[in-house]
Amino acid sequence: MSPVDSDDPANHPLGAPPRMLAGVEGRVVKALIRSKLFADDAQPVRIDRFVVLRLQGTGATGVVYAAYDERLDRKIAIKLLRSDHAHASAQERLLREARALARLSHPNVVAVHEVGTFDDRVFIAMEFVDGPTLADWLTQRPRGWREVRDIFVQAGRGLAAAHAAGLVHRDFKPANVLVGSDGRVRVLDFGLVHAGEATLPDATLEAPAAAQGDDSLTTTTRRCVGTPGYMAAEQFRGLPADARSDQFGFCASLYEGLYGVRPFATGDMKGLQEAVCAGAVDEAPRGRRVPRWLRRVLLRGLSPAPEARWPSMDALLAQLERRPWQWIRAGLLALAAVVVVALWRSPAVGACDESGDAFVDVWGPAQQQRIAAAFRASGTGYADDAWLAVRRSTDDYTRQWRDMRRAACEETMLTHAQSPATMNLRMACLDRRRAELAALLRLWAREPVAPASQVQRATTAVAELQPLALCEDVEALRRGFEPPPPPLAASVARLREQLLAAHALEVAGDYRAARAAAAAAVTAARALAYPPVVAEALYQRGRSEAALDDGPAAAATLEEAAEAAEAAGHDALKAQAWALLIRVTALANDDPARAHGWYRLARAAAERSGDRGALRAEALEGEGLALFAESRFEAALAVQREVLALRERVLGPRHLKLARTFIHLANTLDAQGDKPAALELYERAAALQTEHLGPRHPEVAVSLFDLALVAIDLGALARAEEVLAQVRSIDLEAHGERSQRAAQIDLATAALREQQGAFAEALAAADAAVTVLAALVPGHREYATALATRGTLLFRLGRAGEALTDYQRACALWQRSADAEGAAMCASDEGEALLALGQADAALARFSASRAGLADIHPDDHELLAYPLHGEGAALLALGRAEEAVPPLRRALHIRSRGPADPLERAETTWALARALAALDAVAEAAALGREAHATFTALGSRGDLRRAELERWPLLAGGPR
Amino acid sequence: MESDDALFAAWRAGARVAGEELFERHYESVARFFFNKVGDEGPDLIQRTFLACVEGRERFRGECGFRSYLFAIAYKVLCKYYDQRRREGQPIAPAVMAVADFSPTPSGLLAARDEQRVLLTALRQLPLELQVLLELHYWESLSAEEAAEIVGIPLGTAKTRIRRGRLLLREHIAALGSSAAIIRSTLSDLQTWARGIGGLIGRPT
Repeated sequence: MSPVDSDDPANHPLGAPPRMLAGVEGRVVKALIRSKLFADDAQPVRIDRFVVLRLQGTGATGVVYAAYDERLDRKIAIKLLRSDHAHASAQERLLREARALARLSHPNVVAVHEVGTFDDRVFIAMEFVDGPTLADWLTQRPRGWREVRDIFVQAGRGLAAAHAAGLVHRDFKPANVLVGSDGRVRVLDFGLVHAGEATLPDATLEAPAAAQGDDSLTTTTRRCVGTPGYMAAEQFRGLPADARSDQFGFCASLYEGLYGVRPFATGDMKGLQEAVCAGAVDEAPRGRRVPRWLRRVLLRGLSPAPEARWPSMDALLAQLERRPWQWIRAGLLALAAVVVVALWRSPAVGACDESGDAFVDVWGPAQQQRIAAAFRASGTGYADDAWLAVRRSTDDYTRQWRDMRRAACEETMLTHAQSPATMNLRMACLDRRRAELAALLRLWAREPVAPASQVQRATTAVAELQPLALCEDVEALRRGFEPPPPPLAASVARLREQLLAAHALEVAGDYRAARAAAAAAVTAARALAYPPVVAEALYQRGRSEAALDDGPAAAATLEEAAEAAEAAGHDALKAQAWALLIRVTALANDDPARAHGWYRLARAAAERSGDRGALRAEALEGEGLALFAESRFEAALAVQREVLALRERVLGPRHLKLARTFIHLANTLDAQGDKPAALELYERAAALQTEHLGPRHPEVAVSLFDLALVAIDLGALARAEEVLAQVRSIDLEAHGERSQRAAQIDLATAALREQQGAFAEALAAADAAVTVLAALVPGHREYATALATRGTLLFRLGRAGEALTDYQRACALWQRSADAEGAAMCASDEGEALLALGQADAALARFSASRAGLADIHPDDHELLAYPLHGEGAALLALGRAEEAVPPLRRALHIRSRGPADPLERAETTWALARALAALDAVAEAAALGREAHATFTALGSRGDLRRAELERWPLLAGGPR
Repeated sequence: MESDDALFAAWRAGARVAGEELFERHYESVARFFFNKVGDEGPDLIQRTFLACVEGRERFRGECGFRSYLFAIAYKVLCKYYDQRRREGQPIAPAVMAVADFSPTPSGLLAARDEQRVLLTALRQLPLELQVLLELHYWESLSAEEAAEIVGIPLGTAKTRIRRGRLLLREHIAALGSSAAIIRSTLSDLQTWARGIGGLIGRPT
């Protein structure tokens, strides 16, 4: 029988059957089932490059699949967003937000690995979290309020971190939070809904504006955003959601988690909206044990007016994390007050919860706006990046500060776990840290236009603030020196303010002003009879001098500072002074032995000061530089690895300071000849810096520059050219054409062009570098490098006489600067020039000296040794001592036959050995080598032309079989 | 084109290609059968249906045709799943996923989509057996006789129930048409849904 009478609409009560395969989800699901049924492993189902494993879940904003990332060998989750976002602009915005989320890294925010489009749909590839949603977690079994609160606090931290990064969730609810089986909570689906896109498939919730009597909404029906039940009043009204709307959703969710019902449990939409807008939260259901204080905290977060809620998620979290007894704190304090007030020295110390406002005068909304505007006004290309990074790290710092402050207070006031004296030590330490940050923030907010140097240093400045962990270290704090006697206290405090201002100027990059301020402080300190502050002032002046590259002045000041610190029993400062002295000395390269002595002193002082690793890392870093300067690379490498391990432990794996250690390690590896490893570390350094500082920051250019040099050495000329162009564009903007930096870039360009065989262009670049450096740093090693580079190019162009002059000047400079490798290599170059000028005896002497010099610092088969070995062979050959020439040539060829040697150089050695063997009548081997060299020279094109012609006139080749 | 029956015989004899062909022909109907009744377990149940079909646990009676056989298995798989969920005290969560996820509608045609949503919601509110009967009859164009056999009731009863189901559906749609009710349904998220559904569906006979 026919089921349907086709003409009668009453017989089509269900309409057309829904189509299952029109959308991409339907097709993916089908393909998945098909591959499982028919074991079709050969053609895995993919979204973009990811292999789909199974359907994980469907949610309001999209469908989630478990998938596998073959490239990184890990399981991931892919969310394919709903197709509502059909408009290109909506899709663009979604992509933008998802990418912003991808940049956010927080333990309580689900990690977004990748964002893209697939079949015109946005997908988000993210961390696969094994565990239920918070909504499921809440229904798994009854849970006590503390357990629920603790889980929500984690989620709240994730929200706070997102807010700090300028992201708004817009649809926070328990279903959008995952509770990992590791106990870590992750918030997901940030910003996936927007005005005009409702979250539930059937939630085309037209906000009845007229019913609200809200004139501002006129007749336009606005579609609200979010999930009813968690939506704030402003969202019902179709107004943009902000961090405070998230706070509302968070409180509604937590309320539900605690009471098992939503705060506004009205049955219909209109009633719900009215209740939310009136703030009419239902009575607490009976039978749930939730403290009254906790309810009060939530009710404030559920206020209809955003301004009436907690000022931020942080403020809300601080309230949630209170322990119940804190609410009787008032009474307790009244009893303790008499004792406590007498003990308190710092005026800033108040009750445990007053720390919330500690930064309001320097990091309030107005100050933040001012700083952001000043940064932007600097006109530098990385101002926005710098501001975002500064905001993020300052928020982190202040948050951590508040936590520590509260802990320090509570452990005395409430749990009596420590004495008031200990609390005072910790509080005073925290006050110093706050003053340090405040000085920096004040400096940034001072002028409407920030100098470019200040913006450039901004991120580093926050990263270099003294770690707050220092204030946890009660042992170290106790070991500190005596506080100033009461009559001096006020003057000392004022002087320290001055020093902090000087320090802020320095970290902000205004070194001259910093030095002037510190010098004034030294004078003032000497007038006070309180040694510790003299040491502090001297140390600050030394730092500024070091930053100004005034090595001798810095060294003298720092030595004086260390002595003053010693006299004052100020161990931590002593360690810092010595650690900096090592760096200054090592960088000036004048006296490595003294640097090692200071290292031992710095390390001992660090240990005495109860240091947890930060000071030791500083000292070690200096030691590493000193060892590097002496070309003791193995030892330097060991020290630098220790620095890396220490810093990773103390600062965490993504701290900006790690980039510096990566660079030091890479420099050493590079010098040792392990260029691939060096290249990788430079890439890591540049990536870390880009993450913190933005892509156009001069610091990034520094790492990229080293990267380019290694890439040139490795023959990765395309990558080198690309990186060098980036460096040039960043640096010339910052430093100008006639700077040391420009000269360095010219030298690298010369090396690159030389590798490409464009000798004339290379010579022009080297010439430019020599001219600039001769004017700027005539006694410096860098000038020597430029001279040697130009010499090599002149030599290549057949101008040996001019080359010799350049080499000789360079060698003299290197010898003076105790650069063993530079001097040795230069001697070899000099030998080459002498040989070309027909002075084979003199050449032989220079080559032998070079070989001996290199043998002292490198293993037997180091690639650099090939140069003097080849030279010795060639000189001996020229002197008619062919038999003696063979062994060094064979060694050179051996070295050049492995690893990434330049084929031209290898062919030169092959050719020289062929001639030596021919002179000894070893005709067969000679001819074979000659043919090999000929083939290489021919393959090298213009670079090999000269030698190819020479070889073609060689009888053994001309006569031998082709 | 080979008949379903011939392909089925070949598949059971081990010819994978025949199985793939059958899968291609009937996948969409089976998927549609589950999609407005279960949530994320849908793909699992679809897979289970095809597996049970080839493993021959259910006896294939040639006279009803392959489609009836396949739907009978699907219905048993569905009932088993509902039983199990109830035994475990787990809520049954039909797809919150909109039909739009499967058949993208241009965003300008929201009204059409809303209509479809109302229909799907109304269908979900029917007792399960009625929902199945209506869908098989009107969407899959099966005769009342075939539908009766699949659900396991006499033909007369099936005809009565299809009529009753149609009336009930119309009532639900009318009720849903007033926005208050749509809104109520949208107020509820997954769990509320499950509670509601759990109360509404009768145990399949």
